[in-house]
Amino acid sequence: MLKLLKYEFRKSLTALLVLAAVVGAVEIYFLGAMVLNNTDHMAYAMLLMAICVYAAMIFVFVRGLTTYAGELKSRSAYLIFMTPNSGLKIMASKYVYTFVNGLLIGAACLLLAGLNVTLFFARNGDLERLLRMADTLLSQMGLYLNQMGLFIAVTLITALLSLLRFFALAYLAITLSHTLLRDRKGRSLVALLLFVALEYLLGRLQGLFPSPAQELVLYAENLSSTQTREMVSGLNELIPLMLPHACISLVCLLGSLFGCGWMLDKKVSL
Amino acid sequence: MLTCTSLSRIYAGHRAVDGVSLTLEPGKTYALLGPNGSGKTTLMKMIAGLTKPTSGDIRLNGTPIGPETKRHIAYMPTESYFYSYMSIQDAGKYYADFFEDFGRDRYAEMLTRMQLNPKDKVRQLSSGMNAKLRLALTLSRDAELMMFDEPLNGVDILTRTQVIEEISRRRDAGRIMLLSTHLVEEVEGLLDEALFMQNGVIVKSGSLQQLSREGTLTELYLKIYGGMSEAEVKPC
Repeated sequence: MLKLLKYEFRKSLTALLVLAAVVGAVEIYFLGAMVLNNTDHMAYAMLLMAICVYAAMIFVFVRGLTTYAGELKSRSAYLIFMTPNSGLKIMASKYVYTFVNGLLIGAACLLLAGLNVTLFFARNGDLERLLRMADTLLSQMGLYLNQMGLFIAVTLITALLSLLRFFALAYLAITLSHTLLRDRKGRSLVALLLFVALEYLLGRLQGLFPSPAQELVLYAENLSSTQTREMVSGLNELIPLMLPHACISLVCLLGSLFGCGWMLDKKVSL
Repeated sequence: MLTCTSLSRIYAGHRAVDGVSLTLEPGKTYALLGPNGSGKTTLMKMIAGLTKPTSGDIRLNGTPIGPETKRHIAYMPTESYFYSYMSIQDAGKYYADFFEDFGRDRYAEMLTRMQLNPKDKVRQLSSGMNAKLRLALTLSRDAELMMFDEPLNGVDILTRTQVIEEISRRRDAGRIMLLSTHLVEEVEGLLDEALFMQNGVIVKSGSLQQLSREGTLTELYLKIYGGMSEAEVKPC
């Protein structure tokens, strides 16, 4: 699979270089504003970098999808499908490359954003004082940063799984559409309709379980300063509510992978 | 040995391949003959695993077509199929990465003989040079089954001679060679057997010795596709 990953990377090298250039330009903008001591532009640059964190990840995911869809329609797919690799291996290489690459790029942008914030406060204020202020404010609401680690980690993982599941369903929809409509027009439209249908069904399935977001809102609405202890343990009590949603996302991710792999082996024709 | 049993492929109601059964034996070179749309490319692509049959079975040495058989099948498609960033050298590296039987030295020799510069970008090659590249990649493998889809298409007369020579060089007692072409007389010297396809069906087949009793391959080709009635062409 490493060889497949190598060629996935090589195929998208130009796009990655363009992305790196854009992020680099934003960083140069920030550093330039810092050198010129222009606080407003530093703030704009930090905002742009924060957008880059999300946009870079989404760009990689979307590009992975569009490349896959284009590949199934083009002759260059012969290169992969003539090789002695199973559909599952081919699909796994695409998932690993796109998702891991997207997450790594998002993390790299996040690190850069964090570095910029540190530099900003080194120039324009006391970061430690800001964090202390934030901690004081949160503790008045009954939230203690050092006790929320598990909750934040589980929330992030659930959110990431949900994002990956979103794109995994898109891969499944594209593969299904190509299987059903190999020789007909309208594959893109059918893929979109299938995706919407799958997301709707998934939404109905997830609706059978309590929504952690709704529980959080209810909890916050009932908040009072005397309930500090209960608030902390209450947040951690939301963690079990997130687990079914995380599991559903994981099952969808794996189901999409194996489903696409099977279709590539047995059904998809080039 | 390659066996196809009642193989069919239906595209949007059209039967590109219709109930084809055949056996190809090692040590022989077969020609798959027929006009455009007769089903030759579809048949080859099914054997190569690029197209899935609607029904029927294909096996190489008893193994159904899949990742395992792809190790032993080398297929030269009729069109260019390379990534846009690839050079001729990159294409060779790709094959070397995925096919254990790919000979780098053999590839380098073939590039020299075909006057192809490894540094050239594939997208900048003429159709003839692209055909030579596809041939070089396919012939540089040591596969049990080698298939060439219209290897003489889009190439000049000198190159055609070179292509036929290169294919001839790779004939082996343990290897099945299958090539499709319209240029029947140019490949006749290479062949052991011929299969004539029409409307997805093999309408005639046999060894060159058997077929020669009815005329040359070109004469047979004209007879079969030159407007004879169905009753005069007996399907196999």
